[in-house]
Amino acid sequence: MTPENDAQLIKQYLKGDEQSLRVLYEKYLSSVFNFIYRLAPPEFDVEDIVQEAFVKAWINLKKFDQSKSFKTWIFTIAKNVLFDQIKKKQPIAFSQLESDEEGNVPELDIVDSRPLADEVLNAVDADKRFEELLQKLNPAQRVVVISHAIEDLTFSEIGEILGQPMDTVKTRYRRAIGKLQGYLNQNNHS
Amino acid sequence: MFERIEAILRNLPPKQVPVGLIAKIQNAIQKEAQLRSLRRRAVAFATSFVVLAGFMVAYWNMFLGEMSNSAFMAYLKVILSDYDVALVYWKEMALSLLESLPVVNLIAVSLLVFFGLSLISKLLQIRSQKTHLNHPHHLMLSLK
Repeated sequence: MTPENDAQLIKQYLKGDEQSLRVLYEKYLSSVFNFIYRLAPPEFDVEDIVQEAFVKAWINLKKFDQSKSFKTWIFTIAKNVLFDQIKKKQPIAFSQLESDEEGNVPELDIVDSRPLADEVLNAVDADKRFEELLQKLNPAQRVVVISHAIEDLTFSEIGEILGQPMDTVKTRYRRAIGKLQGYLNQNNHS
Repeated sequence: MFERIEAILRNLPPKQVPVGLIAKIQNAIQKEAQLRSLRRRAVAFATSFVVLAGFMVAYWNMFLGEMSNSAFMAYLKVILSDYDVALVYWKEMALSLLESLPVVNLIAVSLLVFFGLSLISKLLQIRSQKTHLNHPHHLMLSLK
């Protein structure tokens, strides 16, 4: 479906067609669910966060600029709901959620240029290992990796979601992938 | 290497959306819509009550002023002091009492009191509906 169709669905809903909202939500539910599922720390209730995100989208639907991408907008809302819940449970500065700096955590800053062993990449449980390694990234890097590599958002769209310049997003993405490579090499050589 | 990691990430199997999540979301939206409607009605009724209270105070003061200027209190004193005479001429006394009442203000105050009590009753109803919507039992039903 094209963005024009999203705008049409929203217009129809605002005119009173309840079914249009369900169609629109069903279209993005899986993406948003997987986005939050991979981004949220394990102890968080993903269903709850997704539900709250879609309700907030409904509350602000009249204010949504229909010339913009609904996908980007709903992802932004979902990200904000999750980060708000993270802040409530773990009182940290909001800037820490959206920056690459990790304070005292050992930082694999330099992109690891060693080639990754084939056995690591081809392992039967590579998927599971990658899911676990994603959780090792800080939230700022995790959101970029999940958004671009998994949810197929462009760097420009991700920049819009995070409210950051595209170049920052690109750099963060490269560092995150390099970090994943470093983690895999660490595991492989230990 | 970069591309291989990206390829693995891109092909990670998606997590299945739990069955019934869309229905849960729709119920949550419906409940939010009901709460918003109740809030709007509560604000409208509360505003009307404040305006009404203003009119009530004004009309009540006018009523008291007109009562003290009218002959009503004087007739009442006569009836109470000369009870025997009042009993004999009760029809005339009653008519005089009624005629001396500031009727218009009395009706206005009565109407204002009536509307004020209706508004209070509506506000209490809205509060009860809001409590019912937020009750854990109702929340559990909406989650099913």
